[in-house]
Amino acid sequence: MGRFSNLEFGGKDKPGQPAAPGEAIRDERFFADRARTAWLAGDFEEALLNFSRALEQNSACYDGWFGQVRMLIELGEYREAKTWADKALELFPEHPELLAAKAVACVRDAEFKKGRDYSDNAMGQRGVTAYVWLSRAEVLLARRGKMAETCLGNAVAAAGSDAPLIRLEAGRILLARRHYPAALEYLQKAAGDLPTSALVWYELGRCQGYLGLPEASAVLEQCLKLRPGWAAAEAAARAVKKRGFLSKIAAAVRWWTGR
Amino acid sequence: MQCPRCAFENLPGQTACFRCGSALVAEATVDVHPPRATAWSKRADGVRRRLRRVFRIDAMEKTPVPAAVSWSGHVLVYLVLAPVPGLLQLYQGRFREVWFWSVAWLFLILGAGYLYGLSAGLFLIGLAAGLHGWLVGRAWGVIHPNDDLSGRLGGVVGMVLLAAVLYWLVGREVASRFTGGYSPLAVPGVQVEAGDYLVGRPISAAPKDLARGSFVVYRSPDVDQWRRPFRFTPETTVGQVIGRPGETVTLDNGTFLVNGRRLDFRDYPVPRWLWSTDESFSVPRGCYFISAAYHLTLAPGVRLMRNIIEPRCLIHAERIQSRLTYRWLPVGRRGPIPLPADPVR
Repeated sequence: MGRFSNLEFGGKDKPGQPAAPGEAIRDERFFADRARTAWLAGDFEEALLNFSRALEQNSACYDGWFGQVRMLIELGEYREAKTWADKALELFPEHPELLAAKAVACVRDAEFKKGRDYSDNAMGQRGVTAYVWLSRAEVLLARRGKMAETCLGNAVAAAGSDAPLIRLEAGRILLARRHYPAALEYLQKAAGDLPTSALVWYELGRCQGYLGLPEASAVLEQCLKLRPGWAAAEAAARAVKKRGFLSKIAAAVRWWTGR
Repeated sequence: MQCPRCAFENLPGQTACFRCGSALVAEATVDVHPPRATAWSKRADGVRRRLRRVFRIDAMEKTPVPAAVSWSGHVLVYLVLAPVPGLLQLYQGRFREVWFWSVAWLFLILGAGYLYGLSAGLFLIGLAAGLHGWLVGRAWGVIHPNDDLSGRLGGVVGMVLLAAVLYWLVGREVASRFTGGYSPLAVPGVQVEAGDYLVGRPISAAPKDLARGSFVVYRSPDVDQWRRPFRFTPETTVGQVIGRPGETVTLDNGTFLVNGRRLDFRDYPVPRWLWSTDESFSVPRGCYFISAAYHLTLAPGVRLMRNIIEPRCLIHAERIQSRLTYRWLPVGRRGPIPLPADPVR
């Protein structure tokens, strides 16, 4: 780890700062909530930072560890995510969600057998949560297994009040694996439940763009209204507007074949 | 000390929870900031990931594939269905795995057929052969996802070679059903230019009634056989029928006269080597007067002798292999060749 890895630049709120009168107490819950909000806005760096702040308040906060691993995965730093999941597993041995997160990191890092083994381990633990089912679905999708959709259904069923978030995650997983029509279904439901989340609109817009649906442009505009200046969303909106003849044909093929 | 996971109150000094086994560490010793990847290491990881995917290192099998395909009781079916990629998978109930590649093969074959004769067509045939070999190899169990890289490579090379032999045989069989050649003549009246590739069906017996203006491919006259400079000079020539058996063909100022009637030079052009001749020829029975291009260079003022023209233009019907009816290349002007107007009939 670098010498300056703990330095924070540009952050307005420091963890040690006392809250202004009338503000919420800045404990680990406060920062975990802010991390969740940042995640729903698609700002994974900010979310990671806030999970770290939550852990600075209380290093035994499970949400902080789990959130950090997930954000590292979102940022594409799979090797670091695996290292961090191992560290979290020292504190929370055999925790199914951490095992599942490590399985996801392995699968996305093209270590499919390892990922399958971790997922098997997670499924074998007590207290299988929605995230474990999501992870299982991702592992199965990596090997084009037919049970993935059942796992996604189980994840939503196990989610309870977090069902909208799980639907969003399910949609994102399907989208990443190019199951566009199935992803669209999940993302549309998630957008109805989480209308203020820029991430939902971004993923929905991308999915509609791949399928060549005309509403993709408006959906990405809505995303940019919620989070102005988001480079990824702007690029997606530009791509949708510039779609050429061949892209339209490819979108029609995707629509008809479901892939 | 209270366990952070299960809230069990452990004895002081313990390093792991008595109930759940979680680590009991003082807060000050825990580093809560995760390691971060640098930009270059992210790129390097991306390359490593791609290579792992390409070479299927640590890859799971995509679908449960049996260790070896059972040939017992299926040998005949496996051989009969192999010439069309995808049919074997359809028979095995696994068409979903290869439907995309089967459709791709079909498009490649159609594209290759359309561009046959061009380098692009040859390239597409090569791609189709490779894809065919791979698909059949998978269905036969020669190429197996569980094999190591060298095993898969060997299977792929073997199957592609087999497919190449099959395509060569089929190509030869198809080509034997057609005859063709590059036109040495430019005939503006029927939109044929010098260098166009013309094709037609072979004729089994000597043709008795070829229409004037028809393009034919015929075995080159014997007089040219011993003069051929290269081994690979074509043994056939493409020419245009000018005079039919029993007619008289006259060369007059760069045009043909048949039985005294002048032919339109746009439909019946006179090749350059006959321009300096004003001879008249009677076409014997069983022969045709055929106009073809020859690279005969003459000194200025020298006239061609009859004995040079006759063996090259009066062609016996038995030498004619095919009547060329279709302009194949260039692709932009592909289409049937019309017959020009015949003023003699």
